[in-house]
Amino acid sequence: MKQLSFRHGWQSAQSALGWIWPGTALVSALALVAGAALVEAQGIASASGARDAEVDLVQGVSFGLLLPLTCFALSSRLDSGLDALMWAPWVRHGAERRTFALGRLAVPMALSAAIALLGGSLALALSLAVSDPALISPLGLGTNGLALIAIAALGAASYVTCLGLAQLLAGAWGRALFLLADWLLGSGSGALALPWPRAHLRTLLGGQAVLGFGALSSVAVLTLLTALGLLLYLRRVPH
Amino acid sequence: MSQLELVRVSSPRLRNLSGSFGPGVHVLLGAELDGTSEVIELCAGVRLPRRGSLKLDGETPGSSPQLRLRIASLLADESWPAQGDVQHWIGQLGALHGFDARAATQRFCPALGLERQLETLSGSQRRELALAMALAQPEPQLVALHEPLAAAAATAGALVLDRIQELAERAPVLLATRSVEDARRLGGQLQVLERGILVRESRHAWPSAITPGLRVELSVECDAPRRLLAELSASPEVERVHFDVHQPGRLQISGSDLERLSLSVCRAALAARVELRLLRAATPDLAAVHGASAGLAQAAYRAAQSVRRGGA
Repeated sequence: MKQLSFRHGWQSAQSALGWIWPGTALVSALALVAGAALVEAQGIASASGARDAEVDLVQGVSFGLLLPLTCFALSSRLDSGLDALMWAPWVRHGAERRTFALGRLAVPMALSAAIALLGGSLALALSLAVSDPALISPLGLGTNGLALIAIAALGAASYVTCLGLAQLLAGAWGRALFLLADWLLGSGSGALALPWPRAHLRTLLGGQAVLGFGALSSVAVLTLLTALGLLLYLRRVPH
Repeated sequence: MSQLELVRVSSPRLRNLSGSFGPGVHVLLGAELDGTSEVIELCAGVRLPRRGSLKLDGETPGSSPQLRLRIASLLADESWPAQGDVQHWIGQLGALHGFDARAATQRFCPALGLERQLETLSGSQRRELALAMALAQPEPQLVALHEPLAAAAATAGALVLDRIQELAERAPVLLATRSVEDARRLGGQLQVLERGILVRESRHAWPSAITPGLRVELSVECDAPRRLLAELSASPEVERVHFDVHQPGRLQISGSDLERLSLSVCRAALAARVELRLLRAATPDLAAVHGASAGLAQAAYRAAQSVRRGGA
């Protein structure tokens, strides 16, 4: 029954989104990254300039702007609130509500991770294309690719979970407040930045570390944030 | 035998609703604004009470998926988002519940094609389909239906009534309707729900029980209404007669007791050798039922006051 409930949750999210919405989001995301790359390309004059452009595109545009905005838009489009879960027809007919909710959250997680990954890959590719070929990222292309996949998945999972929990606790305002707080407080590197995904994603992408901790600590905090958010979210949903 | 218990249930429209419903037909008479749709939603598990508890055999439908599997429900609003055709939908629901609902769908929605896309179904067709799914459940623990007769296909009314009676032998069948006539057809124990409160129980939905103290009205169609009118004028049971020259074959006759009034009309028809084509009790509407409740409450209040004064 749990497998069936998860599948119904996944399918219900899929049918609520359709194909046009994700397609438009992906095209818009790629267009945004390409536009930003064009703007950045005009300012590249040295090796450090190329490095800055890469950081701006990957850290700022793809994971700082695209990922949270995509998760926010998906979350509002799908409505992860209690009402939607209470009234879901499959749940009314016996599907397990928490597993159904998990299935419904998995779609925006996968979708926003894919969009962030494609946006990030495009940003990396463009930053390499517009800079001097000698100025290759210190990690190398293969490592960068794997790291991007992991960061996109972790970032999407943490954002979707936290936005879902914010929606459940305080409705649409809660979601908006979470996004605002993530932007404002997550931009710092002090103790206030600790519970916000933005700060840890920045650390993972080579930016300023939160409280001086390294990338592994950020992975741990993001994983913990996601797990805790999911736990609280599911606990608020009746069976 | 299943038992549905409501203990001081409050929701946006229900106020401290309490009641116990065992196997059998239980009809809630009231409008959606009175909270009938919310009672059904609570029973179906798509809503949780704000306060109080609603339990079916000790479990809350809103938080027990196993229980929801065995609840057959028809909500006031069946506009769920869905894709695919009817056959796919009933196949998926059947997989959840563990039964094949195709035969029931064809039985209760004979005009609805299984290949129809769900998006193309109107609101009433969706309700018809949801009713068929609810009635298809082989052994439900609870049946909660909102306006089942209004949702049933024109040709399936009798079948729906038969199935409801069949299900009521083993489980509580809670039916909500705003139509006194439908309540009469559904039978069973009648409860009047007004502004979220169960105001009174009634043995049945005939005027003597549902609107006590109010005048009852009979609609009569016959071949010679003037002759019948002359004969009826001598009857003490008849309090008022309405005859419209624009509808010459029809009479509206009012009195205080439905049974005695009907007998008087029949006797007068025999005496005047008039052929009756129709003799039907006019159904009081919900406003009349609410009016009767207000009258009963006022009478009870005055009686209590006079007892208190007498005691003092």
